[in-house]
Amino acid sequence: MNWLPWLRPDDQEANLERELSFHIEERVADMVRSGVREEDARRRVRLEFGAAEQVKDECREVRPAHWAETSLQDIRYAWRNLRRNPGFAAVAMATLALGIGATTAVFSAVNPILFQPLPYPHAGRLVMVQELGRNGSPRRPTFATFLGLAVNSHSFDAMAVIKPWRPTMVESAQPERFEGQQVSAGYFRTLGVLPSMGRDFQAPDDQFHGPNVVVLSDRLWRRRFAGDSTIIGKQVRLDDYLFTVIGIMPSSFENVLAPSAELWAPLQYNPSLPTEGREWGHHLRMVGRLRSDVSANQARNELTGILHSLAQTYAKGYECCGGVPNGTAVDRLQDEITRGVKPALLAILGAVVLVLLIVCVNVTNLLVARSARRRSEFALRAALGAGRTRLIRQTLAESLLLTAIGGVLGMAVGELGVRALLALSPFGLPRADAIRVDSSVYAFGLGITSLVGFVVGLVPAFQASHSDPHDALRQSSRTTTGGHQVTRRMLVVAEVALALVLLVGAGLLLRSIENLFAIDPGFDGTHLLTMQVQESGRRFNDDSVRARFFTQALEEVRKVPGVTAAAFTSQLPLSGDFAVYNNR
Amino acid sequence: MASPKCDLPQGTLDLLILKTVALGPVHGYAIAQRLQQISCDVVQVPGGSLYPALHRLENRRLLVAEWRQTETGRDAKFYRLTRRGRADLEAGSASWQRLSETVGLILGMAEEGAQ
Repeated sequence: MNWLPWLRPDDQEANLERELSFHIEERVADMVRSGVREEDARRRVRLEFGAAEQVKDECREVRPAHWAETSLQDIRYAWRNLRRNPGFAAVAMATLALGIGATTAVFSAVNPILFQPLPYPHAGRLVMVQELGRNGSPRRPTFATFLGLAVNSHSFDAMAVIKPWRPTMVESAQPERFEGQQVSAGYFRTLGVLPSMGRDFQAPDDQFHGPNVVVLSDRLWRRRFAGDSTIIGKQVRLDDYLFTVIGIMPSSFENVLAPSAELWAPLQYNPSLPTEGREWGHHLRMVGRLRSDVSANQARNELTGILHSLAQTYAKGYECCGGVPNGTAVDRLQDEITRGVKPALLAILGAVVLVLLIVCVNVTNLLVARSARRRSEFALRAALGAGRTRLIRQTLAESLLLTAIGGVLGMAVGELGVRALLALSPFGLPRADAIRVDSSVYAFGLGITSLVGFVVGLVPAFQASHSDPHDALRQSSRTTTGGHQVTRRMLVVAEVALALVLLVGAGLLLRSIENLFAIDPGFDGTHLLTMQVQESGRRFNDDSVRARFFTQALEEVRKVPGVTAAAFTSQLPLSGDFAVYNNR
Repeated sequence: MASPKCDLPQGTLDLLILKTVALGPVHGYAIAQRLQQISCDVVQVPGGSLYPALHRLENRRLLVAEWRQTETGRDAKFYRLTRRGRADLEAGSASWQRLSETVGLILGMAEEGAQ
C-alpha cells in the first residue's frame, strides 16, 4: 500500500538512501571497469549526479505528505522556541488574548443587534410606520391613522399596531404584574410567526367590546402554568377580567418590539373613531410587512397620500390631539429599533478594533526585537541551505502558534466579556437576549486570530528572509543593525499614535458624560426615590375610588419615617414615559 | 562527447521515463544509462531530476516499485509501468507526436518562405 511509507518515515529514508547509493556505486563501478581510477570516478559521478543530500531533499519534496511533514516540523520548532522564552511568550499571549477577547466579546454583542437580520422570515421587508407632525418630526400613529392606512393601502402584506399592556394576576398565591402587549389582530402574521399551540388572533377577536382572549409566551406558559398542555380554552383572571387562553407562542419567538412581553391581548379599539376618544391618541407603534415588489419609498409615498385625504375627512379628530399629520415615515424595523444604540455600538466596535491594532503592533514589535537577537541563527540556517520560503514559513509558524494560543485564551476572555457586557447592558438594549457566544462568534474569533497571526508574523518573516547570511554571521549577535531599529521605531510610533487616538476618544466621551451630568434638570434629584403603583381590578373603574386609593396611599407613604415629602404623578420628568397604563 | 547536450522541454522527462520503463522492469541507474545511450549522449539526466521524477510518477500511481536483486546480486529498486502509466504514456506520446509534427511543419514552412 502506498500510505504505509508515510507512517514509517524511517523506512522511507533508508530506502531513499539505498536507491541513490546503488546508482552511485553502479556508476562508479562502470567507470572503474572502463579504466578510470576510483577516486576520479567518484569525483566525476558527484559532478554529473549532483550532491546526494540535495538529490534526497528534492525527492522528499515530491512526497505527498511533504507539506504536512515540514509544517509539523515548523510547529514543533516554534513550540520549542516559545518554551525557551517563557517570559516573551507569556507577555505576547496575554496581550493577544486581551485584544482578541475584547474584539470577540464586542462583536458577539454587536452582531445580532446591527448585522444579523431580525429573527423573522424575510425580515428585510418589515418596516415601522410613523406619522410626521406639523414640524416634520416623527410621532406615534393613532388608531385612526392605522385603520385608514390598513384599509386603503396596497403596499403591505400585513400591518399591525401595538401598545404596552401591564395586566396583573392577583388571586393566585403569587400576585404578579406581567409585561405584555395589546395588538391588532394581524400582529403575529405581520412578523411571520404563528403560535406553536392553539390559534392566532382573528378579526372577530379584535372587535370593539370583543371577547377577552389572550396568547401566552412559551416562557410564561412554563413558568406560571407548568407547561399545561390542556391550557388552550381555559380561563385566566387578569385585572378582574376572565381571559380565555387561545394560543402559546413558540419558545423560539423573539419579540424584538418588546423583549420582555409575555402575553398578548387584542387591542379592541372603536372603529367608529369617536372624537376625543383614545382612538386619536398618539400612543401606538405601527409595523408592516411590505409586499415583496414594493420598496419602503413607494410605500411611504402611498401612505402619505392616503394620510392627507384622511386628514381632510377627519380634520376634527386630528385637531383634538396633536394636529394634522404632515406625512409618514417608513423605516426598516431593524434600523428603527437599533436607532438609539447604533452610534454607541459602532463607537465601541471602533474602539476595540483600535485596541486590536495596538495589540498587533505591540506583538509585532516584540517579535521583531526577538528576531533581531536571533539574526545570526537565521543566517546560520540560511548558510546551511534552508530556503527563503522555509525560513518565512518557520517565522510565520511561530507567530501563528503564538496567536493561536492567544486566540484560545482570547475566546475564554471573550466569553467572560460577553457575560460582563450582558450584566452591564443598559435596560432597553434591543435584542439583548440574542447576545451569546455562538458559532458565528467562534468563526469570527478564528478569522481574527488567523488574520492577526499573519499580520504580526509578516514583518519578522520578511526580515528573517532578507538578512544577508554573510553579513549577519560576521557581525554576530552583538549588535542590531539599522534596518531593525528603523522598523521598531516605526512600530513604536504607530503604537503611540493609535493609543493617542483611543485616549483622546475616551477623554472626549468622559467629558461629554461630565457635561451631561452637569446639566441642571430643574429639580434636586438627591435623596429622591421613585415607585410605580398600578391599580388593578374592576372597582377602580370608578374615578372616585381610584382617587381615594391614591390619596390614602400617599398619606401612608408620608407617614414612613425618613420621608420628608411625597407626591404622585402619571408621568415622571425626564423618564420618557408615555401614558402606557391600561385604561379599559 | 562531441554532440551538444540539450535541455529537455518541461514534462518530456516523465514521458521518456515512462517509455523506458515500458520495455520492462528497470532500476533508476539503468533508466539513466539507457536514456543516455539511446540519445547518443544528448540526454543526460542528473540525479536531482531523475529521482524526484521517478518518485513523483510513483506517487501518481503511473509506476510501481519493488526491491529486487540485479544480475550481479545487488538490491535495487525496480520500477514497473501500471495500467494507468501505460495509458498516460500512450496519450503523452500521441500528443508529443502531434506537437513535434506541427512544430516541424511550421519551421519547415518558414524555411521555404525565406528562400
